[in-house]
Parts: sequence; C-alpha cells; structure tokens
Amino acid sequence: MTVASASVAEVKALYRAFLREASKFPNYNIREYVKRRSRQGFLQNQNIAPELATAIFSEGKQLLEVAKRQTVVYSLYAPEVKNVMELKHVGEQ
Amino acid sequence: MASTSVISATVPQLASPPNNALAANVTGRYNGLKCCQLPQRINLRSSTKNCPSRAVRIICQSTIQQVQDIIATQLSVDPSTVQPETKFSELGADSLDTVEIVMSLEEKFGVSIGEQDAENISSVKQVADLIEKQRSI
Repeated sequence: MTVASASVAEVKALYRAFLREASKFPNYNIREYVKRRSRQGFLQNQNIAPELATAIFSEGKQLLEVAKRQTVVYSLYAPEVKNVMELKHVGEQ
Repeated sequence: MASTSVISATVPQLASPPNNALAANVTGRYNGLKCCQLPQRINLRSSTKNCPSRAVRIICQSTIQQVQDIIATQLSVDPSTVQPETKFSELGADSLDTVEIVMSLEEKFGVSIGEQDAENISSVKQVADLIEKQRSI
C-alpha cells in the first residue's frame, strides 16, 4: 500500500490512537509512559522535512501495533492493588 | 439504640435528593442551587425526558463549566480566559495539545468522541456540545 505523505488529520488520528491505547493499560506506570513517550515522539518530529515524514509516520504506526499487542499482554497480568499515584484524596487537605 | 437512631436519621437524607430531582423536574419548580449539588448522571437522565427549559440550561451550563475548568488546568491558564467562544489556538494550544485535551475530556466524562467530530474542534463550546451530544445518546 503506497502511502502518500501523511496528512495533518492522519497524524492527529495516530496521536489519538496512542492515547486511547494508553488508557487501556491496567498499570499506572506503563500508561503514563505511553502517554509521555508518544507526546515526546510527536513533538520531536514536529518540524521535520516532508521526505522523512512518511518514514517516521510508518514507524509510528508500527509502534502503535506494539502498544496494541502490549495492552493484551499487560491485561493478562493486571495488578490487584491500585498504584498509590492513582488514589485520589490521598493527602489532600 | 442510639446507633440505630443515627442510622435511620442518615438514610432518608441519602434517598431524598434523587427523589427531589425527579419530582421537581415534573412539577417544573426547580431551585437552581439544588440542581448543581446533585450528581450529574441523575440530572441528565431525568432532564432529557421531561425537562423544563430552565433546568436544561442549568445542566448544560455546568457541563461547559467543567469543560472550561479542565481545559484551564491542562493548559495552565487562568480559568477566566477560557470562555465558550475561545478557540484553542488563542489559549496557546497547538494541535497536539488539542488532541490531548479532547482525550482527557473523553476520559473525564466517560464518552467517546468520533474521529470526524474531533477533527473539526476549534473552540471550547464545540467540545462541550459534542460531549453533551454523546452523553444524551
């Protein structure tokens, strides 16, 4: 499938897909990591030349596939106890 | 003896707010303050069935208020600068920030906004309307 240069809409859709996959992880740590890493990756490649953009976009798509596979794996071993960072009203005064 | 009386005193308080909401919506008399204190979910369900227009406006107002507060927190701006007509670009948010904000609003309200709708978001009011639409489905 030949991919013309990725449009703005496709890039935004890819970012949104990453954030959706992030929310599917039961672990706080990996969830925050995916959000952080995807933001970092997209910001880093904000202003690259169009010739490189297609390659980076397809790399991003592959990483999305990785994330999707990992949601399945991680949900098999979901932690029983919530991470302390997820508890609201802790230490709120 | 004392403990049972305490328990029976608290239970009616828990039960009464939802009943008040339904009864009040039907009769059309509604105290605006009470509306804001009630849980959102109960308000919306009862309001879409037989809502006096005043109650709908109050409920829609509180959704957009919540949206404005979340956006102000995410972008670290003064909440007063976030008005319904404000565009995200005016608040200093680029397209990635906009996507992030929409996602966090989706999570907060428990709705899912479609790709097409999310593409065309440019102002705060549009997001609030999309959330309202998804919630009433």
